[in-house]
Amino acid sequence: MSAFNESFRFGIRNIRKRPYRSFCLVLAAVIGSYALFVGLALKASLNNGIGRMQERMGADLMIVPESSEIEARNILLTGEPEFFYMDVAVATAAAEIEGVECATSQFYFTSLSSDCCSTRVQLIAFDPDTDFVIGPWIDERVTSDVSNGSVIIGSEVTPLSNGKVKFYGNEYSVAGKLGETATGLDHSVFMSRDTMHGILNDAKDKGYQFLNPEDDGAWVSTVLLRVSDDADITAVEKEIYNRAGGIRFIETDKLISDVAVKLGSVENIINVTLTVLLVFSFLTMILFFSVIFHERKKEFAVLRILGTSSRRICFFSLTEGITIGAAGGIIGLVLGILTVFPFNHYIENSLDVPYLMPSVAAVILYGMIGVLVTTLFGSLSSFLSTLSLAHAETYYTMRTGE
Amino acid sequence: MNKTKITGIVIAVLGLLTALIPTVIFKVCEAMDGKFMKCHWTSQTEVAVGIATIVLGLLIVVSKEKAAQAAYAVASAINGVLVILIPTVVIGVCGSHDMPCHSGTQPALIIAGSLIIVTALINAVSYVISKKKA
Repeated sequence: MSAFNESFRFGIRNIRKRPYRSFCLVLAAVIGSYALFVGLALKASLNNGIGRMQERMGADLMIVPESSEIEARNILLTGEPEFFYMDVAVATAAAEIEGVECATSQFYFTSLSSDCCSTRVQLIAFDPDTDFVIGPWIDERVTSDVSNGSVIIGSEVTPLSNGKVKFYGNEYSVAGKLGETATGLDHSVFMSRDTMHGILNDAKDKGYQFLNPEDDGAWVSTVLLRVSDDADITAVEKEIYNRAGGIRFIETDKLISDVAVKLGSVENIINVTLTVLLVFSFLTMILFFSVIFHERKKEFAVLRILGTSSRRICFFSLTEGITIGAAGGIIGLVLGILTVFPFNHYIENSLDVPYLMPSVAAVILYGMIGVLVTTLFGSLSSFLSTLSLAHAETYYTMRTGE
Repeated sequence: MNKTKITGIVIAVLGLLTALIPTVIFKVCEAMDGKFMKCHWTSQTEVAVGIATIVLGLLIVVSKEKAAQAAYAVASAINGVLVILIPTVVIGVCGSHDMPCHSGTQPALIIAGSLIIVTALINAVSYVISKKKA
């Protein structure tokens, strides 16, 4: 134990005595640990995001007006507020097709930027009787019934200081908040058709008319379908198209695979950057340690003359490597935490793909991996550098340069 | 260069960052329909606090009196607290997580303010310790 203490103190004294050199080594370790932690956390968040998105997309098929496919995708993926309408007859026709297990319709409109939340939000009216998409995950967090005058808010919607949300001059109580879905629905507000009718009237009074509120029952924005396992989805699409024209289909599987392609390219960029930074960190540490130990050849030779064994010298340098690696690893981890947690919404908005932070246990694991890897880098590079000096003859080392 | 002067330089750099975060690095939201949102006023105030912090940091560097350096450090720490409180309590930023001022400017200012407080307190505490030793 005393030998370990002595080695540790010797290592710390060496680190403190040469601050510039130590700073450069710690910086290399910081880069390695930071890259590893941030890279792993980002990758896990992206995988979590697409996993949750897949889980939450309850429908197999989405029917939208012919000219509104991009807008509908925007609502689902980014929460960009949009509105478009088609005849309610599409919903009736779709529900009658063989192979359609359940069908429900939704009505989209938007708030004003000055109303609530500092920005426009997507307002979605759904039918609680037929709904199979929102219902299963509203129930998880609902605090009271979604009655007339109350709404359910997405996880990213912030209510006013009094806990209510305001649309077109009127305030509505929040009946519940949804769990994170990593989709555009996190930025949406959900309500019954009755509440929607009231908001449309308020909007009309303020000069914003989406539809004539008297006609709102005759229009829907989208029809969501769940197709039975044995049904052919293309045949179902064809059948619906024969009965109702002017529509377009969005297949959930295709939507998710499109997102997965985008996510794959983001993940590739992360992998390449992570590998380059880790290799850079390790090579820099090896290079620095070998140059430093080469310069300290005479110091080691003096220690040998004074009776310190080669093994002990190796232990001294190993302590230095471990201390530098661990210190850099911890600093890198702190910097990583300061990047990933406070800026997670900023990263999410910039990447524009489903993004959901991993669990605390996973984050702790990534942090430990980061610190362990840089500590390993530090110990390996110092050990390898000392090993190259171990075979040098003390006498010749002392006389070098004479 | 002694440690006190280094903390002065760090405080001045953090003051500069405080002024640059809402105006250049993580710009706050643009005016909407010709109307400024509250993050605009947060930005203006943070620029003023940032400049005051730069001045205090430079005063720590040029000052020769240890007591004066500690006093400037305490004033910098108070500025650090202001840097945090302005976007969170005093003025605030836009409510939505999607707005750049909420997702970028606010966390960056909180980190900058925390670093100012920590650096300034290191300076002030080391003065108190050295005074006790003397």
